[in-house]
Amino acid sequence: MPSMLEARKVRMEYERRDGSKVLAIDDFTLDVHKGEFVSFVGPSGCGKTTFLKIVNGLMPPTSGDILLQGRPIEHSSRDRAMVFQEAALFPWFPLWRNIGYGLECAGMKRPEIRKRVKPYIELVGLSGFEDVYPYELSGGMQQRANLARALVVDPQVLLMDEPFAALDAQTREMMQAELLDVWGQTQKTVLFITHQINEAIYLSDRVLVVSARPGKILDDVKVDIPRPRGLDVKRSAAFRDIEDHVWRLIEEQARITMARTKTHRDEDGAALEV
Amino acid sequence: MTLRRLYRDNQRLILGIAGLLSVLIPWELLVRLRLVKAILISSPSQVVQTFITELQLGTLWGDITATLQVWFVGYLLAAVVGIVLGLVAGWFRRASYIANPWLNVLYAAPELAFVPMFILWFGIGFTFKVWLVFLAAIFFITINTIAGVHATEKRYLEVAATFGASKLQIFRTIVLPGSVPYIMTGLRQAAGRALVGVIAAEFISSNQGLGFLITLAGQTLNTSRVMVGIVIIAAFGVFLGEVLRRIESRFDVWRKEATA
Repeated sequence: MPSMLEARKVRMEYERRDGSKVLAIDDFTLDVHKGEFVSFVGPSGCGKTTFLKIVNGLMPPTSGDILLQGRPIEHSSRDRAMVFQEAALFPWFPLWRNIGYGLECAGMKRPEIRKRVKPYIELVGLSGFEDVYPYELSGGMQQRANLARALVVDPQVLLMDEPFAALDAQTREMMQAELLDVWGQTQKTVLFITHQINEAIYLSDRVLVVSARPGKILDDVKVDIPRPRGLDVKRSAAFRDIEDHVWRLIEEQARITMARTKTHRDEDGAALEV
Repeated sequence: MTLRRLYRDNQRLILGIAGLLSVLIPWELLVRLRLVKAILISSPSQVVQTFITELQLGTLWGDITATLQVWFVGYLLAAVVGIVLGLVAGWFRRASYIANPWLNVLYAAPELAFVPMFILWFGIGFTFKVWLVFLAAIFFITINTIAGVHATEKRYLEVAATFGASKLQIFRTIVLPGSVPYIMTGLRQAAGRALVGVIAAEFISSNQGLGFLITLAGQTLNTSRVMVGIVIIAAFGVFLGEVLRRIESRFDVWRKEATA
């Protein structure tokens, strides 16, 4: 399979306000194939979001390379679209203009945008809500719009930063199934960040387990569960085995993170989370 | 039973009227019973009578239009200049550093302190009054506009960044619409201040306008006429507030959540 995205020894270091340096991620090396769904799981503050922002082009890495179809990436571009944890829809725009925002940024005229967003609004099941303002939409609907906004620009890679974290448990499950459905239809390459191990396994072809800070890739777990996957797959034995394996790796890392938070608290009287 | 429901459905209106009457009735009574001198505080019935007579004679219109003209021109200028200034100062950090000392001066010094200088520069006519209104109003418009620009949420800017939006696009699609509620608040606060500005200017030196009408009536012990002037000014203030509220709700259909 052709490689869509490669990261080679990506390292990200940044300065705290007091001048001390923090190594957020270290030696991230990975290879994602076209059409693959890859998740990152790891303790809080392990640099997952940082990595996604680097891939998006929002910030340059301290060292290392990111290659998109063999070419190094420089800045944000519509070939990589981000789905944010908070939907962050603009409250002053009706739904269709929010979803078409990437096209608007590309200089497309409004009537054309309206036409172009239509199939995507349909894809995420929001037909009939085109002219509705975000405050009238439920959390789940807002996240669907968030997803559609990223898909409209027809990116090569979809970057999803804990997109379902703010949803209630039931909506979250439904959204996972819907995401797989959309992914199946659009054949996008997806990088997906989550805290929930079972979400990562359910959605992904591969789950990358990231260590506590500095984030390193500890394990690359293949999920050999056939697709299409129904939600009931989460209760199968194969699923549980993978879950156990990933959880054991994460548990250790989470302990390190917690212990570190504690010592920081002891030192400066406040928890430091970077 | 039905009476109780009638009350419950119109509680605000009924209690509001009751509040008004609880002052107006004793006032009227005190004057009628000659417990206080009518020449000092007039009475509601006399005010109404004076108002009707003045309307019939047509003597009020000149003063009303004079006041409104000054208010309108000064306020409009303040709105245009204030919004532009606020957007520029909010958007460009250096511009705000330059504007800040002047905004602080405007905030700290009552605009009335500028009056002698303005009279020196512009005489005591229309121009002087417009300047006073402008100065009274612009601070609130600018300061609120700046606050609106600064309140732009980071998460929206991140969305724009991932789609590679240009600076101009960010300004047009995020900063400007996000500032509208703040600008409207500024416009609303400024409308009242501008009204104070006109009346003050007319108090100080003028030969027409509602402020002039009130001073003159006060000096000639025509208390009813003073009250008529006050009522007209108050009515205009209430009317303005209502108009601006309407405009505001048109501008942010998207904020229903917050206003409902």
